Amino acid sequence: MDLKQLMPFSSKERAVDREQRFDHPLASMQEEMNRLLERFFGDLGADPFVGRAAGFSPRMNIAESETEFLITVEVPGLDEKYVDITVTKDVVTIKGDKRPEQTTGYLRSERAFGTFTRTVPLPREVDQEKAEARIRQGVLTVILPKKAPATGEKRKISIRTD
Amino acid sequence: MSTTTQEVMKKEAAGQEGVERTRPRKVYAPAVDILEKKEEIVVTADMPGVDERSVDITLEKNVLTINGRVEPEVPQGYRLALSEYGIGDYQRAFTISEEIDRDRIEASVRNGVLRLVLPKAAAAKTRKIAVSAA
Repeated sequence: MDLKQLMPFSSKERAVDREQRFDHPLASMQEEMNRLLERFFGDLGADPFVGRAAGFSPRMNIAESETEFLITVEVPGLDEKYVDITVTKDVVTIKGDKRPEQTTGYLRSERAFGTFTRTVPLPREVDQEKAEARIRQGVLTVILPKKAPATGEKRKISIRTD
Repeated sequence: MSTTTQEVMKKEAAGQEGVERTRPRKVYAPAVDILEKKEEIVVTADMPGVDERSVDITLEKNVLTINGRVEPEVPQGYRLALSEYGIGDYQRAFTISEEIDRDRIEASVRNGVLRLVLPKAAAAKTRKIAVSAA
């Protein structure tokens, strides 16, 4: 099956939508340009509203122990200045910007650069206050201690026999 | 315009023919950039998990080989809940042309990125040749 059929909004539908708008003389010209550009680039398969920012998606591993989650992300060459980590009670978001040394003069270019965002929903609530992060040898590690379940939640009641 | 998000996938290194590995680990080929500058060629390789003590570089005949050892990072008492990347060593080889000054090759590791500076030999740099009147 063509991958495009699986996309919620196909380019074709949007093109029809545009043809019905003639509110401004310049607008139609802009639409025409957009249509031309889309015809040119549209076959690359990406929806313009998805993944607009040039970037990459770094790979992550998550390890879990009784007491904490340990998230590791491979981010070689990422400067800690350009990393932003936020934690809510059960979601952690890691954003970063990996900047290249220079942009021209490449004989070979395989490494990924740009911005990224990874959002991880956590299966358990974590203690935001005690969360820690570090970057070592190009590996970002985020430690999220699990919140202890409320005490007294479950109690065994013994039955007396008279 | 529409730009797709690049997926970063580690590629397993192609084993050298006739060479068996003795470490029971996966081996990946690091992603590499090669930059040409006026006086040198700069090779940078993404090798997360590697530091200056765990990387070896050898130059034999025309082949420059980089080797990086990575120790497993899942500590005791933890289990992997999600695994998107494999942990393993790195290996990749490059052929070096005659125009590189072999004696002055430098290497450094920072933030999991290996950086090799290959200076161009004097002969390979462009020289201005004076023309004398006959």
